[in-house]
Amino acid sequence: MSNYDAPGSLDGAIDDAVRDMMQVDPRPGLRQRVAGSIGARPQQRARLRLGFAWAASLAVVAIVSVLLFRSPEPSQPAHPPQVAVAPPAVPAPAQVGPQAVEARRTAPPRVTQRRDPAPESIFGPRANRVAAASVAPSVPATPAPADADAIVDLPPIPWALPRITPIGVAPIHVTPIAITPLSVSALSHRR
Amino acid sequence: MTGSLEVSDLDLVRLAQAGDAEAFGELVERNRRAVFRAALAAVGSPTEAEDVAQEAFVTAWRKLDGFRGESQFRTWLLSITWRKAIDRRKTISRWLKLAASSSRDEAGDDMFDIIERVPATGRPHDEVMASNELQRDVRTLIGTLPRKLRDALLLAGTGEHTYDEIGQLLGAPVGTVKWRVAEARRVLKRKLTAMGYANE
Repeated sequence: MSNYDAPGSLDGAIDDAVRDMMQVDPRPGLRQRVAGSIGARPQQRARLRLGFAWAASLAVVAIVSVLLFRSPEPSQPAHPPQVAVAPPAVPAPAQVGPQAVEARRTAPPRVTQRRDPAPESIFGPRANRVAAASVAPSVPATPAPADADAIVDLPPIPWALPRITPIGVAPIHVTPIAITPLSVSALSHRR
Repeated sequence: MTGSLEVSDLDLVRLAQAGDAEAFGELVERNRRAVFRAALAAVGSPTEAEDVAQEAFVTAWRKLDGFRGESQFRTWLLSITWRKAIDRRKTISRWLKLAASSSRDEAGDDMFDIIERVPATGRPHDEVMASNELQRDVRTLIGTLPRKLRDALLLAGTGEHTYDEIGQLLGAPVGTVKWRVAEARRVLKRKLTAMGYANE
Protein backbone atom coordinates (compact mmCIF):
# COMPACT_ATOMS: atom_id res chain seq x y z
CA MET A 1 0.00 0.00 0.00
CA SER A 2 1.26 3.38 -0.87
CA ASN A 3 2.13 5.85 1.82
CA TYR A 4 0.32 8.65 0.11
CA ASP A 5 -3.11 7.14 -0.24
CA ALA A 6 -4.31 9.97 1.87
CA PRO A 7 -4.42 12.91 -0.46
CA GLY A 8 -1.82 15.51 0.26
CA SER A 9 0.57 13.20 1.95
CA LEU A 10 3.52 14.70 0.18
CA ASP A 11 6.01 13.03 2.48
CA GLY A 12 4.70 9.67 1.41
CA ALA A 13 4.80 10.68 -2.23
CA ILE A 14 8.39 11.76 -1.89
CA ASP A 15 9.29 8.53 -0.12
CA ASP A 16 7.68 6.45 -2.83
CA ALA A 17 9.27 8.42 -5.63
CA VAL A 18 12.73 8.12 -4.11
CA ARG A 19 12.21 4.44 -3.43
CA ASP A 20 11.08 3.78 -6.96
CA MET A 21 14.06 5.66 -8.30
CA MET A 22 16.68 4.13 -6.09
CA GLN A 23 15.65 0.69 -4.99
CA VAL A 24 16.55 -0.90 -8.26
CA ASP A 25 18.80 -3.88 -8.68
CA PRO A 26 21.45 -4.24 -11.32
CA ARG A 27 20.84 -6.65 -14.11
CA PRO A 28 21.94 -10.18 -13.34
CA GLY A 29 25.39 -11.06 -14.52
CA LEU A 30 27.32 -8.20 -13.02
CA ARG A 31 29.65 -10.65 -11.32
CA GLN A 32 30.35 -12.39 -14.60
CA ARG A 33 30.89 -9.10 -16.39
CA VAL A 34 33.33 -7.99 -13.72
CA ALA A 35 35.11 -11.32 -13.91
CA GLY A 36 35.37 -10.91 -17.64
CA SER A 37 36.82 -7.43 -17.28
CA ILE A 38 39.38 -8.46 -14.73
CA GLY A 39 42.66 -9.08 -16.41
CA ALA A 40 45.69 -10.60 -14.86
CA ARG A 41 45.68 -11.44 -11.20
CA PRO A 42 47.80 -9.36 -8.86
CA GLN A 43 50.41 -12.11 -8.61
CA GLN A 44 50.55 -12.39 -12.36
CA ARG A 45 50.85 -8.64 -12.62
CA ALA A 46 53.68 -8.70 -10.10
CA ARG A 47 55.41 -11.33 -12.19
CA LEU A 48 54.89 -9.23 -15.28
CA ARG A 49 56.32 -6.19 -13.52
CA LEU A 50 59.32 -8.22 -12.39
CA GLY A 51 59.92 -9.52 -15.88
CA PHE A 52 59.64 -6.07 -17.33
CA ALA A 53 62.12 -4.69 -14.80
CA TRP A 54 64.50 -7.55 -15.57
CA ALA A 55 64.28 -6.92 -19.31
CA ALA A 56 64.75 -3.19 -18.82
CA SER A 57 67.86 -3.70 -16.69
CA LEU A 58 69.27 -6.10 -19.28
CA ALA A 59 68.70 -3.53 -21.98
CA VAL A 60 70.43 -0.85 -19.94
CA VAL A 61 73.43 -3.09 -19.33
CA ALA A 62 73.65 -3.92 -23.03
CA ILE A 63 73.53 -0.27 -24.04
CA VAL A 64 76.16 0.74 -21.50
CA SER A 65 78.49 -2.07 -22.54
CA VAL A 66 78.12 -1.15 -26.20
CA LEU A 67 78.91 2.47 -25.42
CA LEU A 68 81.93 1.56 -23.29
CA PHE A 69 83.58 -0.95 -25.57
CA ARG A 70 82.85 0.70 -28.84
CA SER A 71 86.11 1.66 -30.60
CA PRO A 72 86.44 5.34 -31.15
CA GLU A 73 86.21 6.20 -34.81
CA PRO A 74 87.85 9.45 -35.77
CA SER A 75 85.42 11.35 -37.78
CA GLN A 76 87.40 13.05 -40.48
CA PRO A 77 85.78 15.80 -42.37
CA ALA A 78 85.03 15.03 -45.99
CA HIS A 79 87.10 17.94 -47.22
CA PRO A 80 90.13 19.60 -45.73
CA PRO A 81 89.42 22.83 -43.99
CA GLN A 82 89.43 25.82 -46.24
CA VAL A 83 90.05 29.34 -45.30
CA ALA A 84 87.33 31.58 -46.40
CA VAL A 85 88.56 33.91 -49.09
CA ALA A 86 86.69 37.07 -49.58
CA PRO A 87 85.92 37.81 -53.23
CA PRO A 88 87.74 40.81 -54.59
CA ALA A 89 85.91 43.99 -54.19
CA VAL A 90 84.54 45.37 -57.39
CA PRO A 91 85.06 49.08 -57.56
CA ALA A 92 82.03 51.17 -58.05
CA PRO A 93 81.60 52.53 -61.56
CA ALA A 94 83.70 55.59 -61.92
CA GLN A 95 82.20 56.89 -65.12
CA VAL A 96 79.32 59.09 -64.43
CA GLY A 97 79.24 61.16 -67.55
CA PRO A 98 77.02 60.74 -70.58
CA GLN A 99 79.41 58.25 -72.17
CA ALA A 100 79.00 55.95 -69.31
CA VAL A 101 75.28 56.29 -69.51
CA GLU A 102 75.40 55.50 -73.20
CA ALA A 103 77.61 52.51 -72.55
CA ARG A 104 75.14 51.26 -70.02
CA ARG A 105 72.33 51.66 -72.47
CA THR A 106 74.02 49.73 -75.24
CA ALA A 107 75.65 47.03 -73.23
CA PRO A 108 73.48 44.19 -72.16
CA PRO A 109 72.87 44.00 -68.46
CA ARG A 110 75.68 42.21 -66.83
CA VAL A 111 74.52 39.25 -64.96
CA THR A 112 76.96 38.23 -62.37
CA GLN A 113 76.35 35.06 -60.57
CA ARG A 114 77.51 35.55 -57.11
CA ARG A 115 78.88 32.49 -55.54
CA ASP A 116 79.10 32.53 -51.83
CA PRO A 117 81.95 30.70 -50.25
CA ALA A 118 81.16 27.36 -48.82
CA PRO A 119 80.27 27.61 -45.17
CA GLU A 120 83.21 26.85 -43.02
CA SER A 121 83.34 26.19 -39.40
CA ILE A 122 84.79 29.13 -37.55
CA PHE A 123 86.21 26.74 -35.00
CA GLY A 124 88.49 25.07 -37.51
CA PRO A 125 88.61 21.43 -38.42
CA ARG A 126 87.06 18.94 -36.12
CA ALA A 127 89.87 17.00 -34.57
CA ASN A 128 87.89 14.18 -33.15
CA ARG A 129 84.64 13.22 -31.58
CA VAL A 130 83.12 16.07 -29.67
CA ALA A 131 83.29 15.60 -25.97
CA ALA A 132 83.68 17.97 -23.12
CA ALA A 133 86.52 15.95 -21.62
CA SER A 134 88.43 15.74 -24.88
CA VAL A 135 89.23 19.43 -25.17
CA ALA A 136 92.96 19.74 -24.63
CA PRO A 137 94.33 23.03 -23.40
CA SER A 138 97.12 22.90 -25.98
CA VAL A 139 94.82 23.09 -28.96
CA PRO A 140 95.86 26.17 -30.86
CA ALA A 141 93.27 28.67 -31.64
CA THR A 142 92.23 29.09 -35.22
CA PRO A 143 94.24 31.94 -36.67
CA ALA A 144 92.37 34.87 -37.97
CA PRO A 145 92.70 35.73 -41.64
CA ALA A 146 95.99 37.36 -42.43
CA ASP A 147 94.47 40.35 -44.07
CA ALA A 148 91.98 40.99 -41.38
CA ASP A 149 93.82 44.09 -40.31
CA ALA A 150 93.88 45.35 -43.82
CA ILE A 151 90.17 45.03 -44.18
CA VAL A 152 89.11 47.03 -41.23
CA ASP A 153 91.49 49.03 -39.20
CA LEU A 154 89.64 50.89 -36.58
CA PRO A 155 91.07 54.20 -35.58
CA PRO A 156 92.47 54.27 -32.13
CA ILE A 157 90.04 55.31 -29.50
CA PRO A 158 91.37 57.33 -26.64
CA TRP A 159 89.49 55.24 -24.12
CA ALA A 160 91.31 51.99 -24.00
CA LEU A 161 88.53 49.97 -25.47
CA PRO A 162 89.41 46.54 -26.77
CA ARG A 163 90.06 46.45 -30.45
CA ILE A 164 87.63 44.34 -32.29
CA THR A 165 88.93 42.51 -35.27
CA PRO A 166 86.24 41.01 -37.41
CA ILE A 167 86.84 37.53 -38.61
CA GLY A 168 87.03 37.44 -42.38
CA VAL A 169 84.37 39.94 -43.14
CA ALA A 170 83.73 39.89 -46.82
CA PRO A 171 83.05 43.28 -48.30
CA ILE A 172 79.59 43.71 -49.60
CA HIS A 173 79.51 43.81 -53.33
CA VAL A 174 76.62 45.75 -54.68
CA THR A 175 76.12 45.26 -58.33
CA PRO A 176 74.53 48.31 -59.88
CA ILE A 177 71.34 47.60 -61.59
CA ALA A 178 71.45 48.46 -65.24
CA ILE A 179 68.16 49.91 -66.28
CA THR A 180 67.45 49.38 -69.91
CA PRO A 181 65.25 52.13 -71.26
CA LEU A 182 61.99 50.88 -72.53
CA SER A 183 61.50 51.76 -76.16
CA VAL A 184 57.97 51.91 -77.30
CA SER A 185 57.32 52.15 -80.98
CA ALA A 186 54.44 54.20 -82.13
CA LEU A 187 51.37 52.30 -83.07
CA SER A 188 50.27 52.53 -86.62
CA HIS A 189 46.64 52.60 -87.40
CA ARG A 190 45.56 49.78 -89.63
CA ARG A 191 42.54 49.81 -91.70
CA MET B 1 32.38 -20.40 -3.18
CA THR B 2 30.27 -22.31 -0.73
CA GLY B 3 29.77 -21.35 2.82
CA SER B 4 30.70 -17.78 1.97
CA LEU B 5 28.40 -16.35 4.62
CA GLU B 6 30.79 -17.50 7.30
CA VAL B 7 33.74 -15.89 5.62
CA SER B 8 34.20 -12.25 6.44
CA ASP B 9 34.83 -9.59 3.85
CA LEU B 10 38.34 -9.16 5.15
CA ASP B 11 39.11 -12.84 4.69
CA LEU B 12 37.80 -12.67 1.17
CA VAL B 13 39.93 -9.60 0.55
CA ARG B 14 43.02 -11.45 1.76
CA LEU B 15 42.24 -14.34 -0.54
CA ALA B 16 41.64 -11.97 -3.43
CA GLN B 17 44.89 -10.18 -2.70
CA ALA B 18 46.60 -13.51 -3.06
CA GLY B 19 45.08 -13.81 -6.52
CA ASP B 20 41.86 -15.67 -5.78
CA ALA B 21 39.46 -14.28 -8.34
CA GLU B 22 36.68 -16.44 -6.99
CA ALA B 23 36.94 -14.73 -3.62
CA PHE B 24 36.75 -11.38 -5.31
CA GLY B 25 33.70 -12.58 -7.19
CA GLU B 26 32.07 -13.28 -3.87
CA LEU B 27 32.89 -9.75 -2.77
CA VAL B 28 31.25 -8.48 -5.94
CA GLU B 29 28.17 -10.52 -5.20
CA ARG B 30 27.95 -9.23 -1.66
CA ASN B 31 28.34 -5.58 -2.55
CA ARG B 32 26.87 -5.30 -6.02
CA ARG B 33 23.60 -3.79 -4.88
CA ALA B 34 25.16 -1.15 -2.64
CA VAL B 35 27.66 -0.24 -5.33
CA PHE B 36 25.03 -0.09 -8.05
CA ARG B 37 22.66 2.05 -6.02
CA ALA B 38 25.36 4.46 -4.95
CA ALA B 39 26.26 4.92 -8.59
CA LEU B 40 22.60 5.29 -9.46
CA ALA B 41 22.20 8.05 -6.88
CA ALA B 42 24.95 10.00 -8.61
CA VAL B 43 24.28 9.42 -12.29
CA GLY B 44 20.52 8.85 -12.26
CA SER B 45 20.49 6.29 -15.03
CA PRO B 46 20.49 2.53 -14.37
CA THR B 47 22.48 1.89 -17.52
CA GLU B 48 25.14 4.39 -16.58
CA ALA B 49 25.10 3.09 -13.01
CA GLU B 50 25.83 -0.43 -14.20
CA ASP B 51 28.79 0.79 -16.18
CA VAL B 52 30.05 2.73 -13.19
CA ALA B 53 29.58 -0.26 -10.89
CA GLN B 54 31.50 -2.51 -13.23
CA GLU B 55 34.31 0.03 -13.52
CA ALA B 56 34.41 0.41 -9.77
CA PHE B 57 34.76 -3.32 -9.20
CA VAL B 58 37.49 -3.62 -11.80
CA THR B 59 39.33 -0.68 -10.26
CA ALA B 60 38.97 -2.20 -6.81
CA TRP B 61 40.47 -5.44 -8.09
CA ARG B 62 43.41 -3.61 -9.58
CA LYS B 63 43.98 -1.55 -6.45
CA LEU B 64 43.39 -4.39 -4.09
CA ASP B 65 47.06 -4.54 -3.13
CA GLY B 66 46.71 -1.04 -1.72
CA PHE B 67 43.87 -1.98 0.61
CA ARG B 68 45.36 -2.38 4.08
CA GLY B 69 42.22 -3.13 6.00
CA GLU B 70 42.25 0.16 7.88
CA SER B 71 38.62 0.67 6.92
CA GLN B 72 35.91 -1.70 5.90
CA PHE B 73 36.21 -3.11 2.42
CA ARG B 74 32.67 -1.99 1.67
CA THR B 75 33.47 1.61 2.62
CA TRP B 76 36.63 1.53 0.53
CA LEU B 77 34.71 0.08 -2.40
CA LEU B 78 31.92 2.62 -2.11
CA SER B 79 34.46 5.45 -2.09
CA ILE B 80 35.86 4.18 -5.38
CA THR B 81 32.35 3.87 -6.75
CA TRP B 82 31.35 7.35 -5.71
CA ARG B 83 34.42 8.94 -7.25
CA LYS B 84 33.82 7.14 -10.52
CA ALA B 85 30.15 8.05 -10.47
CA ILE B 86 30.93 11.72 -9.90
CA ASP B 87 33.40 11.64 -12.77
CA ARG B 88 30.77 10.09 -14.98
CA ARG B 89 28.21 12.65 -13.89
CA LYS B 90 30.57 15.49 -14.76
CA THR B 91 31.17 13.99 -18.17
CA ILE B 92 27.46 13.64 -18.82
CA SER B 93 26.78 17.15 -17.55
CA ARG B 94 29.41 18.58 -19.87
CA TRP B 95 27.90 16.69 -22.75
CA LEU B 96 24.42 17.88 -21.88
CA LYS B 97 25.58 21.46 -21.60
CA LEU B 98 27.14 21.21 -25.03
CA ALA B 99 23.97 19.73 -26.41
CA ALA B 100 21.86 22.36 -24.68
CA SER B 101 23.99 25.16 -26.03
CA SER B 102 23.57 23.88 -29.56
CA SER B 103 19.84 23.37 -29.29
CA ARG B 104 18.32 25.50 -26.63
CA ASP B 105 15.21 23.87 -25.35
CA GLU B 106 13.65 23.17 -22.03
CA ALA B 107 16.27 20.60 -21.15
CA GLY B 108 18.14 21.39 -17.99
CA ASP B 109 21.81 20.94 -17.25
CA ASP B 110 21.49 17.63 -15.57
CA MET B 111 21.15 14.06 -16.58
CA PHE B 112 18.20 13.78 -14.24
CA ASP B 113 16.23 15.59 -16.90
CA ILE B 114 16.65 12.60 -19.13
CA ILE B 115 16.64 10.04 -16.40
CA GLU B 116 15.49 6.68 -17.50
CA ARG B 117 12.13 5.94 -16.08
CA VAL B 118 12.36 3.09 -13.67
CA PRO B 119 9.08 1.23 -13.75
CA ALA B 120 7.21 1.23 -10.51
CA THR B 121 6.57 -2.31 -9.42
CA GLY B 122 4.56 -4.06 -6.78
CA ARG B 123 1.48 -1.89 -6.80
CA PRO B 124 -1.94 -2.36 -8.35
CA HIS B 125 -2.42 -0.84 -11.75
CA ASP B 126 -5.09 1.66 -10.76
CA GLU B 127 -2.98 2.89 -7.89
CA VAL B 128 -0.07 3.34 -10.21
CA MET B 129 -2.25 5.28 -12.60
CA ALA B 130 -3.53 7.50 -9.80
CA SER B 131 -0.09 8.31 -8.55
CA ASN B 132 1.58 8.68 -11.90
CA GLU B 133 1.18 12.40 -12.12
CA LEU B 134 2.43 13.09 -8.64
CA GLN B 135 5.26 10.62 -9.05
CA ARG B 136 6.33 12.26 -12.26
CA ASP B 137 6.26 15.67 -10.68
CA VAL B 138 8.23 14.51 -7.65
CA ARG B 139 10.86 12.96 -9.88
CA THR B 140 11.08 16.07 -11.94
CA LEU B 141 11.47 18.18 -8.84
CA ILE B 142 14.14 15.85 -7.45
CA GLY B 143 16.07 16.49 -10.61
CA THR B 144 15.95 20.21 -9.94
CA LEU B 145 17.32 19.96 -6.41
CA PRO B 146 20.80 21.26 -5.69
CA ARG B 147 23.24 18.41 -6.01
CA LYS B 148 24.25 18.33 -2.38
CA LEU B 149 20.65 17.94 -1.29
CA ARG B 150 19.79 15.52 -4.04
CA ASP B 151 22.79 13.26 -3.40
CA ALA B 152 21.97 13.01 0.28
CA LEU B 153 18.28 12.38 -0.37
CA LEU B 154 18.85 9.69 -2.98
CA LEU B 155 21.61 7.92 -1.10
CA ALA B 156 19.43 7.84 1.97
CA GLY B 157 16.62 6.45 -0.15
CA THR B 158 18.58 3.49 -1.48
CA GLY B 159 17.99 1.41 1.62
CA GLU B 160 21.57 0.19 1.34
CA HIS B 161 23.63 2.88 2.96
CA THR B 162 23.78 4.09 6.51
CA TYR B 163 24.15 7.74 7.38
CA ASP B 164 27.74 7.04 8.36
CA GLU B 165 28.49 5.64 4.92
CA ILE B 166 26.70 8.50 3.22
CA GLY B 167 28.71 10.95 5.29
CA GLN B 168 31.93 9.28 4.25
CA LEU B 169 30.93 9.30 0.61
CA LEU B 170 29.89 12.93 0.65
CA GLY B 171 32.69 14.04 2.94
CA ALA B 172 30.26 15.52 5.41
CA PRO B 173 29.38 14.81 9.03
CA VAL B 174 26.36 12.68 9.75
CA GLY B 175 24.48 15.67 11.13
CA THR B 176 25.03 17.56 7.91
CA VAL B 177 23.82 14.60 5.89
CA LYS B 178 20.65 14.39 7.94
CA TRP B 179 20.07 18.10 7.57
CA ARG B 180 20.50 17.85 3.80
CA VAL B 181 17.97 15.05 3.58
CA ALA B 182 15.46 16.99 5.62
CA GLU B 183 16.12 20.15 3.65
CA ALA B 184 15.65 18.30 0.37
CA ARG B 185 12.29 17.06 1.52
CA ARG B 186 11.31 20.56 2.66
CA VAL B 187 12.20 22.02 -0.70
CA LEU B 188 10.30 19.32 -2.55
CA LYS B 189 7.19 19.80 -0.44
CA ARG B 190 7.30 23.54 -0.88
CA LYS B 191 7.53 23.19 -4.64
CA LEU B 192 4.81 20.57 -4.75
CA THR B 193 2.55 22.82 -2.72
CA ALA B 194 3.27 25.64 -5.12
CA MET B 195 2.26 23.32 -7.94
CA GLY B 196 -1.12 22.78 -6.31
CA TYR B 197 -0.63 19.59 -4.36
CA ALA B 198 -2.13 19.76 -0.93
CA ASN B 199 -0.12 18.72 2.08
CA GLU B 200 -2.56 17.75 4.77
